[in-house]
This record gives sequence, C-alpha cells and structure tokens, in this order.
Amino acid sequence: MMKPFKRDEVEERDVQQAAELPVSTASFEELYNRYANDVLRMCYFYLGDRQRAEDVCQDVFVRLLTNTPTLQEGREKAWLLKVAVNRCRDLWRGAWLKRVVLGSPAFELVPAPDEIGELSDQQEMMQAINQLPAAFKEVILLHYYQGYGIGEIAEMMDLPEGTISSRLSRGRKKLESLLKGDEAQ
Amino acid sequence: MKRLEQLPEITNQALGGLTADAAMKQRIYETATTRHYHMTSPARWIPAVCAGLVLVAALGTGIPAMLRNTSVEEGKLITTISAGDGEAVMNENMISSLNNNSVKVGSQSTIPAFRSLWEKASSGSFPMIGMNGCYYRLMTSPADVPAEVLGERLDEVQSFTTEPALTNTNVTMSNCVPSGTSVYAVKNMGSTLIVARLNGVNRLFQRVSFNGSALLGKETLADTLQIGGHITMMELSGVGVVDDKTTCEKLFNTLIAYADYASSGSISSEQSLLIELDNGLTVQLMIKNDKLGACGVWSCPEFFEQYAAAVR
Repeated sequence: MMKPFKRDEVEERDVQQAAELPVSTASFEELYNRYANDVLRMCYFYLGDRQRAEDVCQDVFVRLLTNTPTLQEGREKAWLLKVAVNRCRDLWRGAWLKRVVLGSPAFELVPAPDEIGELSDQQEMMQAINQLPAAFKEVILLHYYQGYGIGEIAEMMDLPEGTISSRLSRGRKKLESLLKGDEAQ
Repeated sequence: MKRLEQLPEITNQALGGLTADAAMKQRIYETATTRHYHMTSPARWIPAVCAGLVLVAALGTGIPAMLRNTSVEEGKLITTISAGDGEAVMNENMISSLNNNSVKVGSQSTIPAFRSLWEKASSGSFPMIGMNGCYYRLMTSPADVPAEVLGERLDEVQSFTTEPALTNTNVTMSNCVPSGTSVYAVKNMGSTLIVARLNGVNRLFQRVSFNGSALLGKETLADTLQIGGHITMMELSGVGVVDDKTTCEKLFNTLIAYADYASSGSISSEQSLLIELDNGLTVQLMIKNDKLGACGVWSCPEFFEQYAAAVR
C-alpha cells in the first residue's frame, strides 16, 4: 500500500506551544557545533546558492529552538537534515530559483584555503550532482554524502523504500550520463 | 561509480570553506527569540483574534447579501456588445458551438479511457480569459456552474480580442467572453478556477499556460493548483480511478511536494488526470509519460508511482 507522505510534520506542530525556548541552550550548542556545517553544506549542495543555503540552515536551527521537536536520541541529525531538505525542496520547486540560479554560472566550490588548486575533478562531480532533478539529488546526497541507508531515507522522507531505491538507481544513471556529457540538464 | 562513493571526502574538500560560524549562531538566537516573542505575546494575538471574530460576524451577515447583489445577471453580456461590432458576430458563433457536457469523474469504468475537458479551439487560440498575467482556459464541464460556488467578483472583461497572444493581460481580455462580462472567483480555489457568464450560463475556466506564460513571480504548482483539501476523486486515463478521499489527498500532497517544474509550455497528449472536487467541479491536467501539464509542465514520477500503487 502507498505510504502516506507527510510534509515536515515538525514544522506544522504547535508552534504556539513555545512558552519558552524548549531546547536547552546546552543541547542547542552541542547540536549546532556537531551538525551545522553538515546542514549548511547539504543545503548549499542542494541549492547552489550560498546565501539561500545559509538562510535555510539558519531557519532549521531556529525551528530547533522554537518548534518543540521530539528528537530521538541519535536521530537529531536526521531531523535537522529532514527539515533542511524539505526547506530546500520548497525553494527548489519554485520556479524562481530555477530561473535565477540555474541560469547562473556553474556551481562554485568553497574550499578551505589549503585545498585550493586541487579540485577540478571534484568540481565536475559536484556540478553534475547539483544539476540532478530534486528528487534524485535528495537521495544521492542523503545516501552518498550523509551516509544514510535506504530504510533511513525512506523513513526520513516518508516514502516507500522501493521509491528510494528506484530514485537512487535512476539518479546514478542520470549522474553517469551527465558526467559523460550525454545530456545537458 | 567509484567517485560517488568518495562523495563525503570530495565534499569536505570542496566545501571545506563553507562553515556555520558564530555569527550565524547569533542570528539564530536573535531570530528564535523574536519569533518566540511573537508567538507567545498575548498582546499581539488577542487583538487579531478579536478583529477576526468581528470580521467573521460581519461576513456572516454580509456575504449572502453580497452574493445576491453580485450574482450574474441573465443575458447581460450579449447586450453589452456594441452593435455592428464584427467581433460580436464571431463571439456568438463561438458561443453557439460550445459543448456543455458535464463530467462525473470515475463514473464510467475501472480503467477509464481518455477524456478531455478542455473546450476545443475554434480558431487559432483556445477559448480563454486573460487576467492579471494569468490565462484561464474554458472547460466543457460543468454545463452551468452553480451560483453557490461563485466567489467574489474579480473584474470584468475589458477587451474582446481574436488575437490573445498579441494582447497583454494588463486589461482583462478574452477571445470568447464579450466585453463587459463579469469574471468571478470560485470559492476556496484561489487562482485555479474562475467563472464567467457565457451563452446564458456560468462557464468554468481553469488556469493554464499560454504563449510561454505560466507562473508568476515565485509561484509554484501549489499556487496554480489550489485544490488541496477539496479532492474527492481522481481519474487517470488508462490507469484507473482513486475514489478514496484520504488517498486522493495523499497523492495530491505527493504531487505538490515533488513536482519539478519543467517548462512554461503545455502538454498535448491523449491522457489526462481529472480531479473531482467537493464543490462538484473537475479540474484537468494533461499527462505525458511522467509529466503533468496545466499551468506549466511539471515532472513528477513519484506521483505516478504512488497513483499506480493506490489503484492496485
């Protein structure tokens, strides 16, 4: 049977409940220090726009502070990435981003100072991933970049595992053809 | 694909300079505090609630009267056409040729054949109304939109033209509805549907892309297809009918969440998705492979996968 799709259930949840900032400062600091870079880079990888990636990352952590999310121990990063991906998707599926960002020069790398000059191969790969359709890009990033398994991604995205597998497979094929230059997305 | 397995290292090298710094953390704290204040300060929301109650009370007594006063008047549109106007002759011909069938989604067979609800073009362009940058195509169903689903009066057709592609929508224009005809919203349907009086009956128009124009500004599919929460049935020709409301809404949510904008064009095919709404109206999207088209073309393989699963 079809598994229901629930859009970012946390975002809709009782924002009014926030009588005080529900996540303790210590917890927030710990989560921010551990995962904010991952969230930011994931958003940048998804959107290809630094300012918007920072906006989304900021919004994700604001939600962490204000929306009373129920975070399972060990699943905090999954929650952060789920909210981030949903936010990125909201932006991406809007025509505005496609018109403005896809029409702009290629995805730019932001290397650490000591890595500059060694990145031509990486750039090609990352540009190709950035050009993938959103549905493929999400699963490729969550699986290959963030290391989540198919079952975890399915749970995160509220989709059947078969759909995630299929997207991974199709995403890989699409990526391969992009890298071979078979098609221009 | 070997390099894909190395993506974490590649990304950490390539984006190593992209860090969430202390300044961002500070902004997060500031925003969270402000948002928290706005959410919890009774001084902010009590007046808004009171104002809302007053508004509801006012609308409760005012809307029926407004509807009575603004309902479409029989025969008004024909009399507004200037005598001797050549366009009026064309318009009357078009009116007389209209097909007024009504469609009941999913009522015919388990695996429905292709049905299109678009009114066919009788000249170069399909019958339409252009208004505020949006284009709406005349539909064959229903034969007469019930007055109770009409929303507010939006405007009136100011320009009748046989060349809509050459006419911008700074003025409300049409190639089938005469000048002076009122255009109405449909309740709870946003900009998806409008109604105008034609040949003595209320006719439905659905928002579509036309002449390379589809979305406005930051619009998404959710903006041009504002039917969520009102779907009672779906019919995908050649595939099947889904008549469970909950499943229909889930499918629609999938569509809205995953549809990827492909172009501002349209789809010409012999497959359609008909979506019946709780107000008795039906909207249509044309289908080709994993793409859907109405106001722009959208790719959404996830929707078709889930639709097939739901039918099974």
